[in-house]
Amino acid sequence: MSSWVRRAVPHCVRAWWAVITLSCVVALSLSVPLPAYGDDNPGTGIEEPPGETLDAGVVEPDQAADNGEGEAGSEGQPSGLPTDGDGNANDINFQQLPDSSFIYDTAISALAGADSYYNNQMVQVTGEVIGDRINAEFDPDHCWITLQATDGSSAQVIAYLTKDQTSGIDSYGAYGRRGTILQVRGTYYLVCPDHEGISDIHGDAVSVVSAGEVIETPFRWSVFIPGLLLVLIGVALVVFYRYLQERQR
Amino acid sequence: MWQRFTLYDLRVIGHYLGVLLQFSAILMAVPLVVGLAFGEWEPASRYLLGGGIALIAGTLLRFLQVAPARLGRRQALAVTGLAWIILALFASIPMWLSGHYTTYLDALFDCVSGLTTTGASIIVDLDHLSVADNMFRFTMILFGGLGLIVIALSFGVFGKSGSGASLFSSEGRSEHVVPNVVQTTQFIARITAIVVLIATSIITVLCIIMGIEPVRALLQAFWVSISGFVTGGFTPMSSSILYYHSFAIELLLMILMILGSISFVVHSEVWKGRIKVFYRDIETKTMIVWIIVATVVFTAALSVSPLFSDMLAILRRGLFMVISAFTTTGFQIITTNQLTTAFTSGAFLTIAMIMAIGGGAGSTAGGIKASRVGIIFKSITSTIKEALAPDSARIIVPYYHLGRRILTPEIVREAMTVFVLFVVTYVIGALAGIAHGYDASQAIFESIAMTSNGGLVTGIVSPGMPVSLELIYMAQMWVGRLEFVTLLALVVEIVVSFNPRRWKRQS
Repeated sequence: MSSWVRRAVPHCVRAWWAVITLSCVVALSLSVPLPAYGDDNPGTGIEEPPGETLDAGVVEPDQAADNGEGEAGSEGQPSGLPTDGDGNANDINFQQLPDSSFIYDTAISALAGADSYYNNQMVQVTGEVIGDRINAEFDPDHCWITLQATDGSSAQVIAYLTKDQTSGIDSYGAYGRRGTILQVRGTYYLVCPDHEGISDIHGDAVSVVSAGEVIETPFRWSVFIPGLLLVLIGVALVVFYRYLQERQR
Repeated sequence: MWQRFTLYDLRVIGHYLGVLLQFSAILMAVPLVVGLAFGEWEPASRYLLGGGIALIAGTLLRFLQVAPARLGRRQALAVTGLAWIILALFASIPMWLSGHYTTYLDALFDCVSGLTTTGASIIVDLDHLSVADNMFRFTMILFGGLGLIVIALSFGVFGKSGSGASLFSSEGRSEHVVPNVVQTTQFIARITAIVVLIATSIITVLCIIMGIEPVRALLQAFWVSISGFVTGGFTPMSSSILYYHSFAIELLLMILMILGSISFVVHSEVWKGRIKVFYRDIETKTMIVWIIVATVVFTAALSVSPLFSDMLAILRRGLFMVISAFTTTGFQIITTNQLTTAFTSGAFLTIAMIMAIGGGAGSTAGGIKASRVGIIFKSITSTIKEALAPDSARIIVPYYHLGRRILTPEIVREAMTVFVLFVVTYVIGALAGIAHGYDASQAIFESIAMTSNGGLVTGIVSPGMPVSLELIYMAQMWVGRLEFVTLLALVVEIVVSFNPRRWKRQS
């Protein structure tokens, strides 16, 4: 600080000015709006369920109203994403404060061996859609799909979704077809009270992770050659056997 | 008393096993044609290869005895006993080459399970299996359920060798629908065809309404109809009947399973208009009483569960599982995980006991059989009557089974012998499971499922299970399908044949 300032302003006043200046700087930096996680991030399709809180992926719906800390939504979230030099939105916002919107990612193989701990829990699973879309019996707007784990375990889980939620499915896994990889978030029931006791996930949010594909197998004569040779040998043996049989008569 | 197999016996046995192998080679034409029709070139080539191998092996075996000979009873027992394993060995070749099994033994396990209509499967990624492979699985279920010998006889595979009666009875069928064995087998095949056709038509329509593509709907309907009527238990989808989420399909399959668990002889009588025969039969009465008791116990046990407290859930899921277990089909509309976690231990073991008793004799169902249980209870009644009656009294206990019959010591002895053998096998299998480190109740359940050919599994039967346990379970399925007598007789004959002291004595 220059000597004339030191001579003109008393120490206590300088100290107060320093505090005031510092406070202004902090207030200014806190007032810059930061975006909520997921804004400007296409394709996730993750929607915040209204009125529910998410605390480390374990949802207690009855406690949702009492939990003041983790209210979902954009309250208290600063607006605007920090951008890189090209003006693109940064998908990962390190300035985001930890909140209770973390979803507990569950493996389908874990649900296949789930016990009552998982019952009524919010889970998020990712798997290949296989088989068919089965219309729900008594609800024309809903349907059933089967998700198979992609970790090689062949574990499966059944999801109860609206037909609109399944609009993104372009392929159902079968022989020669890889089904759409789907991410489903919803409540898992070990014994569903709404569906006569089956284990299912009532999907709240669905997003397509990757599209399905058809695995073409072109026709090749070469794969049939070993079998044809063996059959010919077999037929020749049968003919020889019949010849011997006739000779013995 | 014990006669060993001579070289001539072995040649005749080999000859007839060769006949059956040649027949199985022709059966592989079914998945071959289906594969070609659906453009599944790789699966089609596998069945061409498998058919060629079976044809060569079968023909080479027939060279052992070129001139066909009439089968004696001991030879027929050996042919029947070995046919199931020999056919499974060759049927598993194309299945193993599909890449859906971790080892050849797993493929063999599935083929034995299919042929014995157990229905427990350790296939990997079933939902991506080709149509050709699925068709072959259900072909095995169909022929195993009706009986390999039955099918072979109805197609005239054994020609006019006159061995039909010996083979027929050695497959565990003591009752003839009509006096002629070949006509009996053709009747069984005809009934099956009619029932499967009707069920397929109805289920196809239901599947299309549910949103399944028409071709897939037709195939799935055909397969589950076969599996339901012959009480096989295989399904085209991993989640079993739960996949369809349809009460209508579940109801239809329950009817199908019950029809399949009724003796074909009774079917024949009902077909001729003699419905009273069905209601008066000791087997029917035993089944009705047993099912009522088991359902009440099961419902009471399940209602205690905090998860399964809803009456609608108990009725829908519980009743289907009870019928699936009672008919030893093995269909499920709950997950395997729910069986071990959501079900109470009482409900779990009740299902096991229902499987243990099984369905009707002379049907496609497995287990101890309701008729034997009925006879044992009649025997208890007889014993009590004898205890209460004066010494000079002669106690006669009648029962009705296709006519009025009198309970004799021989009939009771046969029923008790098979009952004891089943229970001993259940115990041995359970101990084997426990010795491999599995939970006791699961080991008991799995052992009963294997021996009774029930097929409901709790997770022990899975890819990567211990090899020794896998072999034990295969033996249990085999033994249960043949109802012990055939197989034990075969084992005794083989052991005696290898006894050198017998060679010296007989020479």
